[in-house]
Order: sequence, then C-alpha cells, then structure tokens
Amino acid sequence: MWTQWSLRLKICVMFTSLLGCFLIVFSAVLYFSLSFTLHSELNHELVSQAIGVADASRALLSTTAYREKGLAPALQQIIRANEESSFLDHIHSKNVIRLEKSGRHIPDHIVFAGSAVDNSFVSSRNLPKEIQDYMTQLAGNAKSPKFSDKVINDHHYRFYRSDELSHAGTTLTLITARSVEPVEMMLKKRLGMIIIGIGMMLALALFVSQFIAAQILQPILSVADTARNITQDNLAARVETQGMDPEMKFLADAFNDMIQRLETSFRFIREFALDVTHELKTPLAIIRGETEIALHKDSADDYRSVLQSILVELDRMLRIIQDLFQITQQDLAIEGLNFQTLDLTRLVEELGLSFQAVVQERKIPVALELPKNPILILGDEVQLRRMFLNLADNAAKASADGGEMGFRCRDEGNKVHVTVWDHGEGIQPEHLPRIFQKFYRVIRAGRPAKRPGHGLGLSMVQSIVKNHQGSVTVQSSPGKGSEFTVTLPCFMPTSK
Amino acid sequence: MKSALIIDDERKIRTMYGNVLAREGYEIYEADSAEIANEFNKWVDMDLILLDIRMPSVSGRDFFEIVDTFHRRPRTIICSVYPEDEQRKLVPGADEYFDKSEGIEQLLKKIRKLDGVETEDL
Repeated sequence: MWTQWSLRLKICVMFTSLLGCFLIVFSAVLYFSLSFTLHSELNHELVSQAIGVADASRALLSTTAYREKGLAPALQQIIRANEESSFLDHIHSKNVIRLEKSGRHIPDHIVFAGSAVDNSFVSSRNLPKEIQDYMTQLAGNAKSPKFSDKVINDHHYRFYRSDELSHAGTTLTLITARSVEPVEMMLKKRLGMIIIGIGMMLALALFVSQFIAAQILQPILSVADTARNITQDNLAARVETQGMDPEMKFLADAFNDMIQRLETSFRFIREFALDVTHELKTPLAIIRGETEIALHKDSADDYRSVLQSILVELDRMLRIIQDLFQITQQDLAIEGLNFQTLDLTRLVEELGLSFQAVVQERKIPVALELPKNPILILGDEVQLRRMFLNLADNAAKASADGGEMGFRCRDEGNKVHVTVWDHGEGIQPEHLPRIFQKFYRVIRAGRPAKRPGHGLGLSMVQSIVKNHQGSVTVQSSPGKGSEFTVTLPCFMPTSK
Repeated sequence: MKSALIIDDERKIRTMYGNVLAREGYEIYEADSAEIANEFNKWVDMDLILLDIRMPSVSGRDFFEIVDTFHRRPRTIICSVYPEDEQRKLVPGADEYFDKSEGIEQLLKKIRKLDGVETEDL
C-alpha cells in the first residue's frame, strides 16, 4: 500500500509521524517528571507532618502538666490542636471533607500513634475502622517499609511509618497518612491535556505539511509537465530553473541536458535522412530525365548512350548505399570485427606498393617512410586496408598528375602514427572542421574528378579508426597539400 | 534572345535541363556552384534562373536571398530533389518550385507556364 501512495502523501505522513514521535517522547518525559515531583512532595509532606507532631509532643511532655499525664494524652492534645487549627484547615480546605460511600466524612490527613503491644492508640477523629486496623498493623510491624500505599474503602492512601515515641514506659509508633487522590487527579488531567494537545498538533501538522509538500514537489511537477509536453516534433521545451533550490536545479539541469542531447540526436537523424534522400534522389532524377528524353528518340546509339549514363548513376547509388551500410555497421559495431595481431609496417608497405601500381599511369610516385622493425597492433586487417586505401585514394584525387604522395609510419612506443600525405591542392581552412561529416564534400575548383566522391569516405575512415580505439587528424594548407594522420594504440603483449 | 542560367553542382542535370531550355529558345549559361552570387553581372540580366538548393559551400537558399533583394530580379525556378512543400519552406518567394524526380516533362510545363505558352507535348 505504501508504494501506491503519492509522494506528497508519503511526505505528509512521514513528517507527521516523525513529529508525533518527538511529541510523545517529550510529553512522556514531562509527564513522568511531574509525577515524580508530585509523589516526592507527598512523601515529603508525610515526613514533615510526622516530624512536626513528634517535636510538638516532646515539647508538650516537657511541661509539668503533661509529664504526669503521659505520652498518649499529649499526642491526643496535639492531634486535636492540629485538626482544629485554621492553618491546616486552610491548606487542606479542598480536601478536608470527603464523603465515603456510606455517607461518613473521611479525613484526608491522618495522624495516628499506636502500639501493637497493648492495642492502644490515639488518632485523628472519624477514622474509619479499616484504616485504624491497617495503621495498627503497620505500627506493630517494625519491619514493614517506611512508605506504603493501600486502597482502603475505594480510596487510595499513602502511609508513612515514623519513629517510635517513648515516654515513661509507654512506646507508640507515629504514623501519618494522606490521600494520593489529589496527585492522581492532577496527573490524570495533565495526561488528558497532553493527549488532546498532541492530537491537535498532529492534525495541524498533517494539514500544514500538505502545503509544504506541494511547495517542495512543485519543481518536480514542472519537470514532469515539461516532459509531458515533449514530443519528437517539439524538443525545444526546457524546465525553467530560475530561482530553484540547488537540489531541484540539479535535477532540472540534468533533465534539460538530456533533452538537449536528444534534440541534437534527433536533429542529426533528420539531417542525415535529408542527406540520404538528396544523395539518392539526385541520380534517380537524372535517370528519369534521361529516360524521358530517350523515349522521344529512336536511334539505337541514343538508347545506348542513355543506358550507359543510367548505369553510371545506378553504380553511384549502389556505392552510396554500400558505404552507408558500411558506416552504419561501423557506427553500431554490428559486424563482428576480426581483431588480430598485425604488423602495421608490413601492412602499410604492401598497401603503398599496390597503390603505386594504381597511380602509375598518372606518374605519381608513392613514397614510403617505414621503420625497420615490425610494429604490432591489434586490428581488423580488412577494415584497416579499406581505411588506408580510402585515405590514399583521396590523396591521389587531390594530386595533380606527376604530383607526390606517400605513407609515413612513426612508432611512439605505446602508439603508432600513420600519415598519408600529398602535395596536392589542399583543403580550405573553413572546410576542415566538417570534412569528417557524412555527405560533406569539398568542391574541387575547375577540375572535375573522374570519379566524384559522395562525401562518405572520410566518415567511414573515422568510424573504422574509432573502432580501433584510435583517432584521425588532418593538417592541410591550400595549394601545398594535406596530411591525414591515423593514430592507433600498439599491441602490448601481457607477458612483456 | 531569352537567356537562362542553370546553377547545379550536378553536370548531368545542367546538361539535361540545358537541352530542354535550349529547345524553348533560351540561350544557356551554366554554373556549378552558387559562389557566383556576388558576381551580379553574371546573372542579373537573365530571364530565368534554375536554382538547385543543396550545393557545396554557398547554398541555393543563400543565392536566392541575394537575388530576391533586387526589385527586378530574374524569374527563378527552384529545382531540387526535395518535395515541393519542403522547397517552399526552405526558399520562400521563388516563382516556381520543381521536384527533380518528377521528370523533365513536368519541368517543361512549369517553364512554359512562366513564359505564358500553351503546354504541348515534349
């Protein structure tokens, strides 16, 4: 059930329960300390009353009149005096007169002195029989505890057994008693107030926490609101972070960043789709136009030339599709690359020599600068060949007939740099940042290439290099030539 | 004689459209990029411009913005492989739009419509 609750409700409930726990603990401490204080005060009163009576009786016995009469009459005198004194009446006015169920008055303050030996005693007036009996029992048992509680006739009393008083052979034990009910009544009232108070405060807290929770959750709701408004067509929405708390700002910023990345990806996909459309529709437009023209002609030679033209365009489309397929595979790394330990020196040397044959008729010498020792790397030979051939092909295209190009291989311990360079036309600086993008083409001034590129070659080079944990950089100056440098990590056998 | 300028980075397209326009009595000029945008003398006196949108460096859109600032500009047909609606969004304000994949008969119709000539077969 807890998991189904709304976050707002959870916050409210958690806040309120926590507050409730604190309040209960706090009130319990308060209540018990009050209870302890009241009970101690009661005990103290019992003790001080006993001391007062004892002192007064000793004083009375020192007089000539009472020395003869003895202990009991002296005590009797003092108890009566105590009862009748306005002082006591005043203090205990609220509690002096109580009615028993039977209709008798019962005392709240009792002073009793008795002896179990001869069953004689002196006590306050109107003392019910049950209390008398219990007090007599207490007086006779010297081992009974000093303080004891007992419910007599449905009333709760506390008794204090004081010291024995002796005079002229008579020994009486002094006992004071008081009703515990005023203390109990007061504690009961307090407890009621505490319970009502806690209840009211918790209700208030639950009410207020609703608003606080709503306030706290507001930024989350605005994030959710924005998220709901985001569709494929509308990725421009952002969460407003102005004036947000730092934690919420963190969330909103992360969310905004994610949308930003999504927007970039979507834009890239859309542009890419547009690129693909353009690149494939152009040859189709040519094929369609030429076919329409051919339909109005009737010589076999015309047909032949149109068909040849169509074939060229079809080739071009197939090449684009094939390269796109390659790149997609490289980008997604679907194709299980066949990684092996390769000697890069040998690979570049072979490539250089075979490429030499390709550009021989244009009288372009291919220079090779290779280290003597083999350089081991981990790579897919077919992919690497394709990648270096692409760079070499670009170099040859950029070079004039009789120009120069070459491969340079440099070992740097844990890395190896292979540079494919040419002294051709170079690339204008404004094109450099974009040449690795798909379908980006640099127009070659004046001289139409025999086989025009379609802007996917360098993109493929980059994909292959990335799959080999390498990087590719370019340096070029217009009119002087270009250098494409591929950096690959060397193979480090673990035994080394 | 009427003159027409074809701006397209595809040589075959230029040749094909050039042949169509020549038969309509136009004198043909070709450009393989829109980089001639600032060389006004090369296009300001033309009667018709066929303009591709997507070309390396300067796009047809940039070119048309410059053309469009002249009060008596040459009539312009945007020729691209994008659908016509898309072209209208990309380069608003041109006289006519032509989707290259619709074939040259369609192009011919559009040229004749601009010239005010009754359409007949190719």
